[in-house]
Amino acid sequence: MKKNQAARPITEKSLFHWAFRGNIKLQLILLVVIILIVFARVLPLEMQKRIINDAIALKNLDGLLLYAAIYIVALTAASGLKLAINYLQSLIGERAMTAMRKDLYQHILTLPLNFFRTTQPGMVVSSLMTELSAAGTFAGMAFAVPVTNILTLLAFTAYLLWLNMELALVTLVMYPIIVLVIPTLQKKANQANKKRVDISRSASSQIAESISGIHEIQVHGAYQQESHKFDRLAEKLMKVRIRWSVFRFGIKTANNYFTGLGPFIVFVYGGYLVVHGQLALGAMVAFLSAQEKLFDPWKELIDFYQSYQDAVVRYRRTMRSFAATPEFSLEAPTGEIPEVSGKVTVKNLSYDTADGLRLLNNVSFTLAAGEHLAVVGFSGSGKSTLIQCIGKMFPYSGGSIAIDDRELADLPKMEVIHSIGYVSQNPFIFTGSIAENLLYARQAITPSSSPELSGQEDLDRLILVLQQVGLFVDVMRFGLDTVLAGEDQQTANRIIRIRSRFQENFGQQLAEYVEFYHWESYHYTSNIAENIIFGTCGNGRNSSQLGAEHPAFRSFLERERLIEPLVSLGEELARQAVDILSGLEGVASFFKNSPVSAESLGECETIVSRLGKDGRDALSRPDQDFLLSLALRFTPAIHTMIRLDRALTSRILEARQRFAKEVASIVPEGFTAYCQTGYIHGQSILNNIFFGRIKPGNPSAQEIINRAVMHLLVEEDYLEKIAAIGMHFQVGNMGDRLSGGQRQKLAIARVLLKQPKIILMDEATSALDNKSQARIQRLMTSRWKGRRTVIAVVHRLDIIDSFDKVAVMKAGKLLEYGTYQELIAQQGILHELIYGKQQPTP
Amino acid sequence: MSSSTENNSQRPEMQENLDLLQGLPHFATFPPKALKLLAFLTERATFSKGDVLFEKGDDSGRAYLLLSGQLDLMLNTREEDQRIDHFTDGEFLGGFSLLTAMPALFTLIAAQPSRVLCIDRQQFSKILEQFPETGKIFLQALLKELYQWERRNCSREERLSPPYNLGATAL
Repeated sequence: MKKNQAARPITEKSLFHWAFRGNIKLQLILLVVIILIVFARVLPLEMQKRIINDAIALKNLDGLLLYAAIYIVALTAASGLKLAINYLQSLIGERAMTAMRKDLYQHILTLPLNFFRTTQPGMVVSSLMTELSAAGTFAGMAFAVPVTNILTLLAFTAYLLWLNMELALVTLVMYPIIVLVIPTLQKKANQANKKRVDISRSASSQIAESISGIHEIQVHGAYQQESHKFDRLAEKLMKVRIRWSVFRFGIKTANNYFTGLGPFIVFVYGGYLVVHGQLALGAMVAFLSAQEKLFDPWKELIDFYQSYQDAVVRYRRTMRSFAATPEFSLEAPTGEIPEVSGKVTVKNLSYDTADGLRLLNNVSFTLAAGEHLAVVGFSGSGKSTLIQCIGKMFPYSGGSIAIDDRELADLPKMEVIHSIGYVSQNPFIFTGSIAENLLYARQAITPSSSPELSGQEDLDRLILVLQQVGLFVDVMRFGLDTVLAGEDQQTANRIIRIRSRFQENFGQQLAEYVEFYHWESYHYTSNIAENIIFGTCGNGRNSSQLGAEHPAFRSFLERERLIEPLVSLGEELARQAVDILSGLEGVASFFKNSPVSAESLGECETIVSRLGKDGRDALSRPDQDFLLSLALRFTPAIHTMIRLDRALTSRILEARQRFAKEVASIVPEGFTAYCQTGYIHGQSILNNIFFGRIKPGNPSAQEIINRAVMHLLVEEDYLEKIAAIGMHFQVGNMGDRLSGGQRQKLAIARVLLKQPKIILMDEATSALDNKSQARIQRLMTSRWKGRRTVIAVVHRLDIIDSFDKVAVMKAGKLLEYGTYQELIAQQGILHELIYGKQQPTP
Repeated sequence: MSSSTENNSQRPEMQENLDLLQGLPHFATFPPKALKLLAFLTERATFSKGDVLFEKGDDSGRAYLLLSGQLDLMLNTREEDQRIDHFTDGEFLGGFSLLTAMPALFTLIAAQPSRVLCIDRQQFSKILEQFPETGKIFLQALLKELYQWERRNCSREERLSPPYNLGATAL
């Protein structure tokens, strides 16, 4: 706050600042083009007069050609120059707007956190993206338009005066009247416009609020309430917009009317003069056109005036809403950042909100470097505020916080960012990969490092941190679930090797849970179609499009003489399904393990009853196809109502062999058979390693397989590679593909990578399960004690005995401070908190 | 590769399930259609020795009919894990959890490689909805079982001094 005083805050800069900053050269070029265009515009008028007076009247053909040529050249040049002006204008406008946006955005990012408590994201979005664009367009016009039009106006006026002084003065008398009327109207339009900007901003805030709270709205069914809030604003906006439009068009109409009077005067007065022989007809025609030409630049000037007013209103309103100043200077510290030891001394600290609410009241304590402090207390007791003050997120109102005996308020913010890490309760995860999120905090303090993984050292460090916070297993999962890109042949080959090792090592042990793919044996957890095809078609595409409706596949089945047995299998399935499930179509879950879906049960019923009446021969081709698809979907391990016939099993296995030979004529895209040496593209790495399917029934099978795979990856020294792949997992929009626990772990890891001396945690482990919580606790006691100072707001009282000190807060005051044993022995509030809470709850 | 789904019998698995369920008093007198549906919806599962079927505090939401092997019911205390019961072939357990969600008080583990038939609460409650008469049959069987259990406990000799931990059937 002290250093930047000299520079004017961005929100107070005038609109013209943006039009000229960095654009002076462009503006000058524009000016030259403008002067040329004014000349090119006046020239045709003179030519017009000469054509009539000299060429036509005097029958001078050469003169006519010459004048006409000059006329057309000037006209063409004027059009070309107009295009150049438009281009230059939009260039300047866009540059100005972009500069405005960038600077304002940077300014907004540094605004105090308090500012954002009352600011909706929607308002920031609409300000930056919508409101500023009008100001930007204006910046493009700011210089060129008034100059062009005033020059043109002057040129035409001079020309008119030169043509006929008397007539010119009479026609020009209109303009002073217009200049008096229009500003009055504009003032009213401006008022309406200001209101419009304010209301549309409230409306965007309202929308943003509703959308952020959509869960709450839907769960309470508060659709009416929310619509009502929005409707009121929308209607208010409509009214004010109508008012605004009326004034704007009023200005245009008034202007059009007055300027329209010009020719009228020329006709009346000029006609009079011509009749009396005081004026040549050619001169009157020239005068008339010149007078009409006045209209265009004048109209543009009025438009300019209107958009100037509009832009100024929007610009001022927008800038004013961001007029707050950053609380801390963000200048990069000069020279080396001093290494802190991590001692924290808080003395008589108090914090008041803007409304005068006292959130911290005279808090004092000392924490030696490397000590761990647990802050406990009732909610609203100021715990979070305390650590946020220590993290320099808010300026405190009284007392002092010293880091290594240096006052926090005097430390540059960048230095604080270096030495203090903060993990919030609801950490924000950015859209991107795990790796990007991990490196987020570290990258901010060492901007030179790349946001990508670079080098083995980095990878090792990331993996270590992931293990420390307990996110490694999750990242491995992401890695194993990754579908490898087709071109990564090297990794694919490696995984095929790991696959064969996997079956050697774990095949026997996992036989109960997994049915491995074996080229020679029937696969009971796959359906019949999958057993015939036994591979994947195309690059990653599923083979499911090969069914009864696929002509080439069907004729393959015919050649294999499988149609008849499969149709009768389908028949049996249909009968069973009708027998068990008819009348129960309403209960979707009953159909979970049925080859027949609830929707097609009706068709089954029709076919079964037709079969009962007329036998197999009554089946139409579509009926046959229906039964055939049913049979092709039949999966023995899941569809228990029928047992697969031995004979059919071996015929399917024979068909599998021939399918692999004939596959090129059936599916033109590439085909990978499920054989030991082929990588299945389009399936995850995990599936490629264990190469089979999980048998139904055992809910923990997946977990057991994962453990085995991990075990093998360690042996194969391939763990890091898979972890690296997993770190490229995209976490989704704002991390929505991660669980609450994963997000918290990621946030802790992110801070750990930065290696700050002081770590602040605001219920940073609240979403973790007991095991993960214990892991973080172990990490803190075994690796951080004595090395890093920790101040943690803790909601679970059963873990605070591992902290060096405990602070108990209530209503902004520090009531108790000391070691866990001291406070328990004292039988004060901590004792009450712990043993009061341990009463069994019914 | 041997597989539990590959079986020498030519009877469909669902038919075998049907026979097994019919042998239990809980389901024996279900209407045929309901019983068939139940047999269709049950799933078989295989557990290796040491696998946990459910853990204390879980709501497993499943009942099990043990087909082969042995399952141990464990009481986890702070100090030790104590085996309080064990089940063998043909025994049915977890009937309570088919009616309502309750966190398990015990842990069930496979003491031997075991095969079980699982009934899922969500599916079962749908059957109760579709065939209302089944609810009464199932409840009666369950209560009878509880009654027998308490009767056995009443006649046990080590019950010498209070508290007796009896009286569940009087609730």
